[in-house]
Amino acid sequence: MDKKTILVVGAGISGITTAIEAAEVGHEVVLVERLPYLGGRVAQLGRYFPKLCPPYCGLEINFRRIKNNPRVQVHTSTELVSIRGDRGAYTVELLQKPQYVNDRCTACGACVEVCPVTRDDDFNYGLTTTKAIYLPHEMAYPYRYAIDTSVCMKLECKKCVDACAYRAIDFSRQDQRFEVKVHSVVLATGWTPYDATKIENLRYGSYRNVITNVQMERLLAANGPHQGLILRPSDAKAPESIAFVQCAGSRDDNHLPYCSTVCCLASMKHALEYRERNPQGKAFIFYIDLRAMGRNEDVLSRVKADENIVLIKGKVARIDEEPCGSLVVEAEDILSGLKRKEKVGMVVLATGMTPNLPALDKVVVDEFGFFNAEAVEEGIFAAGCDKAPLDVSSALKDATGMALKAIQG
Amino acid sequence: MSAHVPTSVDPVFLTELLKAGGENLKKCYQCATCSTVCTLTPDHRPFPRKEMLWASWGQRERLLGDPDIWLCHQCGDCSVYCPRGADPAETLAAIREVSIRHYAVPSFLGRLVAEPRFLPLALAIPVVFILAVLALAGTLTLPKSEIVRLADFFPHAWLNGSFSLVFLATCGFALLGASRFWRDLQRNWPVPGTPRGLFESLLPVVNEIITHDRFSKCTAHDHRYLAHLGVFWGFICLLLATVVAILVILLGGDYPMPLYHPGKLLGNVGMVLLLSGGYVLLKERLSTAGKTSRSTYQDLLFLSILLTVTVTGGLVQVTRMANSQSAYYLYFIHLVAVFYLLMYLPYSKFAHVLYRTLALFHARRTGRL
Repeated sequence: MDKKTILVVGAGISGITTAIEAAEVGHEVVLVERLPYLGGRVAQLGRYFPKLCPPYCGLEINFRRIKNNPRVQVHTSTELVSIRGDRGAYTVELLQKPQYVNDRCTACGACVEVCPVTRDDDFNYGLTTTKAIYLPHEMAYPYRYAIDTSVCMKLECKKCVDACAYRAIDFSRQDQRFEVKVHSVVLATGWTPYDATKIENLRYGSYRNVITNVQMERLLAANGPHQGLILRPSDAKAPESIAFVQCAGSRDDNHLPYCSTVCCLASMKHALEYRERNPQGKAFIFYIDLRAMGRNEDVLSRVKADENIVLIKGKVARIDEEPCGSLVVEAEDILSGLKRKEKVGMVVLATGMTPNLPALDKVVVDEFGFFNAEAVEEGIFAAGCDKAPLDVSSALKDATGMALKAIQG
Repeated sequence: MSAHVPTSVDPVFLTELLKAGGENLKKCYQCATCSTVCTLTPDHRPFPRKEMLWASWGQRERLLGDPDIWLCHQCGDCSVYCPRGADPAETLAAIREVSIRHYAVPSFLGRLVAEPRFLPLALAIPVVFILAVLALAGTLTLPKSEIVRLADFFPHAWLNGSFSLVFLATCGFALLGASRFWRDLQRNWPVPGTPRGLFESLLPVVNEIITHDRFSKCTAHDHRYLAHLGVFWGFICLLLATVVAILVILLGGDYPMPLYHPGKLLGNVGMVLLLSGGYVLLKERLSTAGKTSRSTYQDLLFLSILLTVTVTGGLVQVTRMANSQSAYYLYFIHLVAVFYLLMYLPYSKFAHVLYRTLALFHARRTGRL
């Protein structure tokens, strides 16, 4: 067999899948990840479709496959700088940010105790904080601490250096640029939740109990801010009711003109999980159209069977805050033709996905910023949400296909 | 309350709406953002989401007898927040415009005023009319006298007599249109068994008209509400000044009235109010053309005529006092514009004074507002 080297950019669930599938049939894979850990957005989910399993079980298997496979070379905190060359012979320049914490780290946590700087925890989408030196999450791979260089005082402070018994912290490390020669490139850079502060009338960022669907995932996760308890940000109390606002900035010419395909099911899942954990709670889902594709229609049936989940056809366009922190959401209930003002404890905005593709000449995007497969030369591919908003299982199927494409490409 | 629900679909009506400024209405996907961001809509059966649906189906009967299109002051919030660029504000404006044409009696006058290609004819009618009256009065030539006296050019009796006669006919036509509109209102939104009392319904309408209190809730363009308030009060002042002038003439008082005369003062205050408000409105209409709050031929024409009446009126006053012969020409233009404004009232955008007032009254009477 002709052995090829494949570069996979992004180590979320799609990138990991492409990398492993290619490596396990005997090809060399260079897997680079911008963040200090692998797993991407999926690692941040509470539970995901179709089987509603927590992400750790699937990720753990995949991390083990990577660990046991000498043909996968992993570079974390590394970004793609440029792609030169042609189909079958690309030279790719990569930039690895300083690895201040090296692999001597045992994740003992002594550094955290002495670190004087706190930062918003982006793993929890800002719902909690960490120190400037932090363990990204319980199952981080590689399992070691990371340093947020944007807030760390480095040598001016170096309390962590003194506290570390294993001499695992080294602030003398520099940026490292290096090149790899590869047969083909698979972009699996993934997505970013749409910035909900841009949807002015929904008041995300000004009303504390208006959160986004990805934050709701963190609240539902066992390793989330409250170990899976759904408590609202303003007073850490369980909200007596939650309103889910669908298409928050999606299918909207003023924001994202497209449908992100997963938000309806995600909100239905959130409502069901909220109801399981809060039997007294009431959920309202305000929607334009409820999209539950294929066998996921079962989820819609379960939602409809719960009399404490109210489905209201009509988009929420105004939210007011009461002094107690509760919110009044307002929409026209189209089916009855009446304005509906619902007072709820918390609001979850179903925000969509925006693509994370690098701005390079060889990467051509469509009108919405997703990878334009037709316009890009053979040899450079994209997997998962780089092409279109997808759920996890569709992204996996696509990523597996891209492994074959990359080998053939 | 069981309303008659018309279900007929009229593709021609839809085409008319698309032409009258509702060209994006088909983009609507019924999310109802518009009904929620609107600060003027009642909570029960709010607008404009339902109107967008009826419009895209071409449901003529439902829309023509719909009071809600007249409860809108086109602040444009709905169009700004519309996720599809379907322009609900412009669509409601288009429905209003098509309504005015629909209720026009006689209908050819509705077309005459609505269609740009008939503008020369629409202007020729007052020109010919005035020339004809002048010929009858025997003053078809410019006065030769040293001192400029407008009455020498167009004797007051002839002016007031001829204009009053035509305006009387206009009022008759307007009443016919209004009664047809009222009939449709009642068909679509029947008055409940115990409607609000006549005065109880009328007082808030009058209050709303003179204070613009609902209009002021349109937060997107608050200067537009102030500008309209200026135009409204300016027009009222000028109307009263005209009545005073006619009374002075009838009672044989000093005419032209001296500048310090209360009627004269009222007129000049009105002129300033109307000009400043009208300027703001026209400027906004011209500057936002193509963006939200598009302007149609009818919007611009009505404002232009109103401003022409005011500007030429002011200029006539100045040139007359300066004893300039140009006063006669300006006076002629002024009268053509006044004719246009008053005689075409039921067919131009001016008709909103009629239909909006009726719709407001109906909304109060039925408890909708």
